[in-house]
Amino acid sequence: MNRRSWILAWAVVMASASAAFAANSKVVLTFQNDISTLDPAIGYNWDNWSMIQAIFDGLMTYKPGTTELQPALASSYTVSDDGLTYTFDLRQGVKFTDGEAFDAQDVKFSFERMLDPATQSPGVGFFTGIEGAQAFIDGKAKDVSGIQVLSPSQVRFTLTAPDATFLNKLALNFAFAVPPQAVAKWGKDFGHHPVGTGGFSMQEWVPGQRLVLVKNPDYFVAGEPKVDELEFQFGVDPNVAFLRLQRGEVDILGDGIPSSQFAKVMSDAKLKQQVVSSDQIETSFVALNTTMKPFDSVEVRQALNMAVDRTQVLRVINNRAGAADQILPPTMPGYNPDYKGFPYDPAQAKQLLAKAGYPDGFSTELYTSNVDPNPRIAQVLQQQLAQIGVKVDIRSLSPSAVIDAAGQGKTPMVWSGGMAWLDDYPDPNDFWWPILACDSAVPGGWNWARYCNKALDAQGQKADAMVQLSQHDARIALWQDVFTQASQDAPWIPLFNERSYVMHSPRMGGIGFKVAGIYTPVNYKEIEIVQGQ
Amino acid sequence: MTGYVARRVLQGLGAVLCVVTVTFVLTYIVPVNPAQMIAGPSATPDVVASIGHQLGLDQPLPVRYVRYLWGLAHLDLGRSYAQRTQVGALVASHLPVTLKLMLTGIACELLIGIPIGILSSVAPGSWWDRVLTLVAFIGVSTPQFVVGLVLIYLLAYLLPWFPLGGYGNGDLGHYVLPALSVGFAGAGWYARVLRSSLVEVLRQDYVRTARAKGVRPRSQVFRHALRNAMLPVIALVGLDLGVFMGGVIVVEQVFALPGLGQMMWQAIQVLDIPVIMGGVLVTAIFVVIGNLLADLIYPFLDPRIQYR
Amino acid sequence: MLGLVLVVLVVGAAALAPVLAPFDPNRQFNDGLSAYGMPRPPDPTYLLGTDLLGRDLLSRILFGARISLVIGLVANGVAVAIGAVVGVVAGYFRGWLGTLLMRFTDVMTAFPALVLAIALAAILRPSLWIVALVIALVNWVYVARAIYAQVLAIREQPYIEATAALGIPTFGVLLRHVVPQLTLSLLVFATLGISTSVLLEASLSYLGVGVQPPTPSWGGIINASQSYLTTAPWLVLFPGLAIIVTSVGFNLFGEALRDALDVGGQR
Repeated sequence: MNRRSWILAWAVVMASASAAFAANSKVVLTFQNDISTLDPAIGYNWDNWSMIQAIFDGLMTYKPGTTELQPALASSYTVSDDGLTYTFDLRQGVKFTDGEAFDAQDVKFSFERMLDPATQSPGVGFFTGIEGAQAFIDGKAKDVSGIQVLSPSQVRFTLTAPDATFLNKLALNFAFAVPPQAVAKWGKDFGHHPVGTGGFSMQEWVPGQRLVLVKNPDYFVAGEPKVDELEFQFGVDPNVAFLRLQRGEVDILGDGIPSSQFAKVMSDAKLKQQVVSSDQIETSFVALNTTMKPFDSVEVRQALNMAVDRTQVLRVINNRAGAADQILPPTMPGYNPDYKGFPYDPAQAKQLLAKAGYPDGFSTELYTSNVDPNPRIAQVLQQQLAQIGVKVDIRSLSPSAVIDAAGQGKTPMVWSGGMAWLDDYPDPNDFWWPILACDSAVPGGWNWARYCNKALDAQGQKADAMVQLSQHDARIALWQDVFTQASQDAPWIPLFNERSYVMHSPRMGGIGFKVAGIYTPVNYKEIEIVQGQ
Repeated sequence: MTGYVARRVLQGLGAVLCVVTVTFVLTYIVPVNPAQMIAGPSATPDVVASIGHQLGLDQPLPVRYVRYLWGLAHLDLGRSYAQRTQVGALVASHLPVTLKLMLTGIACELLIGIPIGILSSVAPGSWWDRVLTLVAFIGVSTPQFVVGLVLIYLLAYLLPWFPLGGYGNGDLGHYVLPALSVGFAGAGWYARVLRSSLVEVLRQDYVRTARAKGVRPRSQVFRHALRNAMLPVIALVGLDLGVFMGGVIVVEQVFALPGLGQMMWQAIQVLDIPVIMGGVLVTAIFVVIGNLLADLIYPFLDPRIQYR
Repeated sequence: MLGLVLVVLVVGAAALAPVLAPFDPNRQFNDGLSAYGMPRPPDPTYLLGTDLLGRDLLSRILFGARISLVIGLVANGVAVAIGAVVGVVAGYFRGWLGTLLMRFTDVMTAFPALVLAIALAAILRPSLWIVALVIALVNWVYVARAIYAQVLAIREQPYIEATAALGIPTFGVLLRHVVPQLTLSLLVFATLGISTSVLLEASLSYLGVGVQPPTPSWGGIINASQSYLTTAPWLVLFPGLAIIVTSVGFNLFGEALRDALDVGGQR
C-alpha cells in the first residue's frame, strides 16, 4: 500500500466508526467547553444551568413552555397576608435517585448548605432576605431561624421584608434540594457526583469528554422526561458540531449555530425548519459611568444613545437579536411598549453634546470582553461615536478582568456583551436591584453605570412589597414607571435583546425548545423525538 | 558523573521553584479579586468577604505562598476556583492529551526533518539542497496556528479526511493534524541541525576511508555518518520539549484539544489562579527535564566538553 | 538574495501603506457585509475581500505590516540590548554575578513564554508598547546565552588577559576590546530576532492579547476570522501569508548576513 492509499483507507475506517449512531431515544448534544460543576448551589453558567435543572428540583418551578410559576417538590403553599411567611406542603413519596427519601428536613439542609460560606455559592445574595440567614452566614447562628420544619412534609419560610419575587427565587437552581447522605459522602466533590430528585440521573462524566444523563423512571412528574438518555459531548468545535448535525450524528447544537454558517442555514428552507428561535429575557448594553465626567451629564448620555445605529450593530451578530429601545427587554413584564427611547439621530446628538459643553466631542475608553464578537461590536460603536466627535479607545480584556474593573467603578464605558444581563427570573426587579440600584453601585457590585436614584429605589421597594396576587398588575405598572424614568435618564445605551436560535436534528421536537427565558439552551425534560428515522 | 547529574537535577528543581514563585507573585498582582468572580453578580460585599476568607485571600502574600509550597510538598496543587475540583485531578485528566500531542508532534518533526536534513547534506549546494533549505526556512518561519488552520481547511474541510478539530472519543485521528502542525513548524530546526552536522561528519577522515574502501554512498551516509550526526538531533529533542510546551496553548486552541494548554487558557480567562499555577508548574517541569536531557547528551557529542 | 527581496517588499509595504492602500483600513463599509453579516470575497473593489466588519482586507494587511515591523524592531531591539548586557556582564565577570545572571536566564527559559506574555498583558493594559516589551522579556534569553558563550571565548584570548595585566580599567576593556568583537553577532541577532518577534506578536494577537482593536494586526485578523475558515478562507489565508513572507524574509536575510560575516551564534 503506498502512502496515499493508506491515508485513504484510514479515513474510511474513521468515517465508518463515527457513523455508528444509534437511532433510539438517546439524544446527543455538543458543547465546545466542558462544564464546571453540576452542584445546584454553585453552577451559574449558561451551559450547566439547565443540566442542573434536569437532575434536581426545587419547591417551585415554571410550567413548561411558559414563565408561569407552579409548585414542584411542594404540592401547595400559602402566603400570609403581610407577605412575610410562606408555608409549603411537600409532595409525598418523592425519593432522591440514590434511594434516600425526600422530606422537609432536606429542604432546610439544602438551604443551609447553600448559605454556608464554605460552599462558596454565588446564589447567597438571593436569599439573605430570609430571617436569620445573615446571622447564619456570619457564623452567629447554628441554623437559619427563618426556615422552620413544621413536620416531615411541611416547611415554613419567614422573611425580614415582603418580597414579591420570593417564589421566583425558590425556582432558582440555588434553592434545589440535595440529599444529605450523598453530600456528606462526596463533600466538595458533590458537584461531580450529583444526586437529585430530578428527571435524570447522572450515569457517567468523563471530564473534558462527555456527560451521560439517564432517565429517572420514578420521576414524580408524569410524562417527563420524554427521552431515555442525554449524551453531552464536550470539546466539539461549533463548526464541527454543525457538520456532524447535518450528517445525523448530533441532535442539538449546545453552542448554537456558528455565525459563519448562519446565513446559509437561514436561507435554506430545509435547514431553517430545524431551527427554533425565541426571544431571551436579555438586554445587551453599554454602561455609561454616571459618576465620571462627562457621563455625569444626562445630555451627554442621551447624545450617545442617539449616536448609535443599532441596525449596523445587529448585522455584526447576524441579526440574531432585536434592537433595544429601553432597559427592559420586550419579553419582560414591565416593558413599556409606548416608550420609544432615543432614535438614531447623529445631528441631534451633536446638538445635545454642544449644549452639554462638548461641541467638539471628547475622548474616553470603552471596555469590552475579548471574546468574539464583542471586540467587533466595540469597533462598530467606536466608528459610530467618532461621527459625533467622541473618540473612543477600546480596552479588550478577559471577561473577568472587565467585570472586576467595571465593578470597581474604574470604567467610563463598558460593553456588556458576553457578561450581562440575562434574567435570573422573569420579573423586572431582577433588572433593578443587582444592576441599577444604589446598593449595587458599590465596589464589586454589578451596577457598572454607578447609577443611583434614591427616588426610583424607593418606588421599587414599594412595588416589591405588593406580594398578593391581586396586586400583581399594579406592581408591574409601578416597575414600568421606574424603568421608563431610568431609561430616559440613560445610564445605559441599550443596544439589543438577544434571540436564541437552537438548531436540532430533524427528528427532535417538543415544547422544551421554547426557551421562554428560563432554560439555556433547552428544557431537557420536555424535548422529545417526534419522528422515527 | 553521578554527582554532576545530581547537581543538575537540584538546579532544575531550583528553576522550577523560581518559576512557581514568579508566577505566584504575578498572578496575585493581577488586579482581580477571585472571590468576587466566585460570588457572582448577586453577592453582597459580606458574602464576597466570607468567600475570600474561605480561600485564605485575606492572608498576606507570604503566608499564602508558604501555604501553597506546603501543599506542593504534599503533592497537593490546591483546588480550582471555577471547576470546584482538585487541580491535581484536572492536570491528570488534561495531561494525557498534551503528552500524546507532544509525542506525535515531535515524531512528526523528526519524520519530516530528518529526511530533509539527510537529502540536503548529501550534495551541499545542489539545487535540491537549496530548495529543501528554503522549505526548512519556511517551516521555521510559519506560526503553528497558520499551518494548523491551513491543514484544517485542506485536509478536514475540502477533503474530509480528518476531524475538523476537537477531541471526540480521543482516537488518534484527532491528533494527526495537530501533530502535523507542530511537525511542520519544528522540522526546519531538525533539518538544519542535521544538515550542518552531517556535512561536518562527512568531511571527516573515517568517512573518507569508508568511501575509499568502496562503500556505496547511500549506506555510507546511513551506517557511518548518521550515527554520529544524530547526537545533536537528540539533544535538540530535549530542548524541543520546552519549545513545544511554550506553544501548546496555541496549538490546542486551534484544534480545540482538551489538553494542558486549553486548561491554562480557560483558567486565565476566569483567573482561576490555582489552575494557572498547576499548568505553569507542569510546563516548567517538562522544560527542565528537556534541558537536563540536552545537557546530559552534549558531552557525548564532543568529548572535549567535561561534566563539571 | 530572496531574503533581501522579501524584506524590501515588507518594509516597502509598511512605509508606503498610506499610498498603496486603496481605503482607510478602519473604515467599515456598508456594502462590505451582507445582511446576515457575511464578509465579501475578493473582487475588483475589495481586492482581497472584506473582513467581518466590512473593512477592506488589503488595506488592513498593508497597515498591519507597520504594526508587525514596529513591534519586531522595538521588541527585538530591547531583547538584544538586555541580552547583550546580561551576556557580557555574566561572561566577563563570571564569579557569583555571572552564575546568578545565567541561572536567572535558565529559569526564564523554563517559563512558558506565552503564559508569561498573557499574564503580563493582563496586568499591564495591552498596547503596542506593552506587547513589544512582553516579547522582549521573553526573547532576550536566547541572545544572553549566545553572547555569554562568545564572551567566555573572547575572554580567553591572550591579549584580553594582557590588558588586565596592563592595568587598563575593566570598563575600558569591555568597551574597546570585547564589545567590538560582538558587533557582528549582535547585528545578526538584530535581524534574525525580528522574525521571532513577528511570530510571537502574531501568536499573542491570535490569542486576543496582542495590540488592541481596531489597530490592524495580522494575528488579530486571523483571531477574529478563525471561525469563518470554511466560509471565508481568505480572511485567514492572506494575513497568514503576510506573516510567513515577513518571517521568512528576515530569517533568510539574517542567515545570509551571518554567512557573509561568518559569525557564530545559534538559536
